[in-house]
Amino acid sequence: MRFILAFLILIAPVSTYAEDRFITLASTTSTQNSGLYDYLLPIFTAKTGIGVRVISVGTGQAIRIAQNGDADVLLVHHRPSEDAFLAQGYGIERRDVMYNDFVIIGPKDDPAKLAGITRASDGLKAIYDAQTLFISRGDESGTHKRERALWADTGIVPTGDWYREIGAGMGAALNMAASVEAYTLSDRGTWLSFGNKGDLALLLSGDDALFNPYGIILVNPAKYPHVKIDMARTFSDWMVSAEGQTAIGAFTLKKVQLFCPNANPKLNLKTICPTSVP
Amino acid sequence: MSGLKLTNLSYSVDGTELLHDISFTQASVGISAILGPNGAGKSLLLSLIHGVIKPNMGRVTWDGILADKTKLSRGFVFQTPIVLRRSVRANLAYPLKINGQHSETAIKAMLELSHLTPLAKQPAASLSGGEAQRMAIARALITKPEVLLLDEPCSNLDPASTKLIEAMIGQFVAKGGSVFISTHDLAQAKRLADTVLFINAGQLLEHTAARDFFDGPETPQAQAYLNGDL
Amino acid sequence: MTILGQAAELVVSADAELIGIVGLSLRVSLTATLIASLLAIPLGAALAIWQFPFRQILIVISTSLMALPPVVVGLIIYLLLSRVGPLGHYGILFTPTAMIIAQSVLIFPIVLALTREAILPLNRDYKNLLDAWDVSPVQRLKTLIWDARFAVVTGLLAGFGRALAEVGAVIIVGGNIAGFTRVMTTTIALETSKGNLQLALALGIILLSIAVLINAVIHWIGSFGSKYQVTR
Repeated sequence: MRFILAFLILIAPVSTYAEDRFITLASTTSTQNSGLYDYLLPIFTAKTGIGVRVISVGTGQAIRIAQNGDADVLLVHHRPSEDAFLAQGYGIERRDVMYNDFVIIGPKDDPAKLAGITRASDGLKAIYDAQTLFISRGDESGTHKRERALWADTGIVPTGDWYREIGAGMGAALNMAASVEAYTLSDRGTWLSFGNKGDLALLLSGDDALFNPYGIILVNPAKYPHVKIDMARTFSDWMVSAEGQTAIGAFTLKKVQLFCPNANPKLNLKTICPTSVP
Repeated sequence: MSGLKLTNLSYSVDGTELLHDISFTQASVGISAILGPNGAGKSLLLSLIHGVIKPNMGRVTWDGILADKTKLSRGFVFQTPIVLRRSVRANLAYPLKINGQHSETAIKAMLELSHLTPLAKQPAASLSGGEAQRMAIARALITKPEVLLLDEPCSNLDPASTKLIEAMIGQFVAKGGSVFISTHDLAQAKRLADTVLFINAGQLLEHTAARDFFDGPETPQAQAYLNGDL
Repeated sequence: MTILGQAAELVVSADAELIGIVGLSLRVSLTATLIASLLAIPLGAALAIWQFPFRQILIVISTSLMALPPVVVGLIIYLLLSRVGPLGHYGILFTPTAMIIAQSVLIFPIVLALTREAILPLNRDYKNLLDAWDVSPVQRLKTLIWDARFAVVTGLLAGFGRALAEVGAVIIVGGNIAGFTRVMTTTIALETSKGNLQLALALGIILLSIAVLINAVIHWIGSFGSKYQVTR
């Protein structure tokens, strides 16, 4: 009995951490891993007193979490999936929030000779022609879906030993690319914040086809009455407000701006975006 | 009807009859020795007399009541002492504790009786064979039973340990307790026993005063046993 | 050396976020161990002591559960706790409570099996004596569990170790929310995915240190308990 009592005392603090004023945000690893939320959310919480709990998973899984009613708000980057989510009645009030771009990463010595190529689909074709290793996320994330769309543009069906679907997150894909000297498609934010670059380098970027917009969607309270729609809407409103947009634009990593706010074109915030982002 | 009565007692396991049709009565007084060669059924008979095992044929009663209903008024000491993984003292306290009792005086008295006072705080597992057996007897006596059943308590013990244990038995009997003891040590049986129960191959062959048994056993099996031929 | 240095630096700096992460790991895993033990120890002891209907089936099921990958446990708990799941209206998905539930399920079969193994030989030793005294079932459970306490605690710590080390279940049902459901293993997974291998490894070394500590305690308890074991 004494053991049990000692145990109970030890674990007592467990029951004290529930805060009521919070929302759950289902989002992507690209936004989380870059450190954007660590920068952004404290500003929002300080202003409104609303805590934001972020679940960072692939876009596909994030949408599924929201579809199950396990999140209050969704911030992802795959427009067709977002539109389907809205069309099925799971979400309401989609807004553009920000964008950055995808980039093709590969070994510094660039065996497929991507340097000088400007079109993403031409780059992938070069990789295919050289039959150099390519790491695909293979996890139904926004990045994976974009990658497949880019392959579709080339008319190539990527299969074979050189094409490796790993079913893992962006970081895992970059880790693997670094260790086996392979190419991969990454979002710029994750690439810039990635700490294990090894002999990898950014080899292709700037194509309009690599445009990577993020949208914010509220989970439909008509579908799930338990969602905290008021607080979620407060968050969404703030994200697209001048204050939120300015904060997004001000977020930098290693002095590089990672996301371009685009909720309100009238603010013409695009002008503060770095030239690296189209 | 006072004392122990066995009526047509048989016991079999998986179709093998280990005890066959045993009947006798025994006033609960003094020391009864159960003698017989290995495998005769001595331990089993003791367990049935105690009540910890129920017969599958016949009955065992104490003062007219079935033995298994009154087993708490009898103490049982197993051939290999069962040592609880606790201190010596906690071993002695255990039988009181399970009945929601506690008595420092009883524990102290039993530690004295078994000459284990200096070892009270030791893990019981650290005791020697003789010490462990003394502890087991003291533990059986602490609930103040009327009858004590001992299954070869001194097998594998040196004479000094045997002497201490016999002294404990003697004290118990002097205070009016009765004892059933199975043993292979004929000298011990001669020293202690008032009555002898001789069993062989599951059958009770003799039930007689100890002196008569050792002076002139009636059955050829008992004669052979005493001569060391069985 | 730099990694060891970084690990030491992390520990010495006692960074509030790190303390929070380690603290949450310990609290979640300890709570899960406690909950699993409250159920598994008596049941494991009962399985060792008595024959009863479905006993064999229970043993087979619990032994099989030991082989269950944490990620499967996580998935099952996720499906149960999701808003569209049967327990969805409690709204405990992505909370430490959900992590505790998942880890309890993971630990339960381990504690059950190790308790049963600890009690089996003890019950063989004690059975005749306890029968002779007509010891009640509840008393019998208490006696055997108490006297096997060193082995039982060893099983408990083994379960705790498994809980503390697993990542598959807590990342699914906890969501790895910073400052709320982020524990050591999920932090390691996250930092690895961010390519911060040094930081991940430093955290791994802290986890390893805790594991070493647990095993030292198991060893110490074992040697202490052996004094009470009959070796004759």
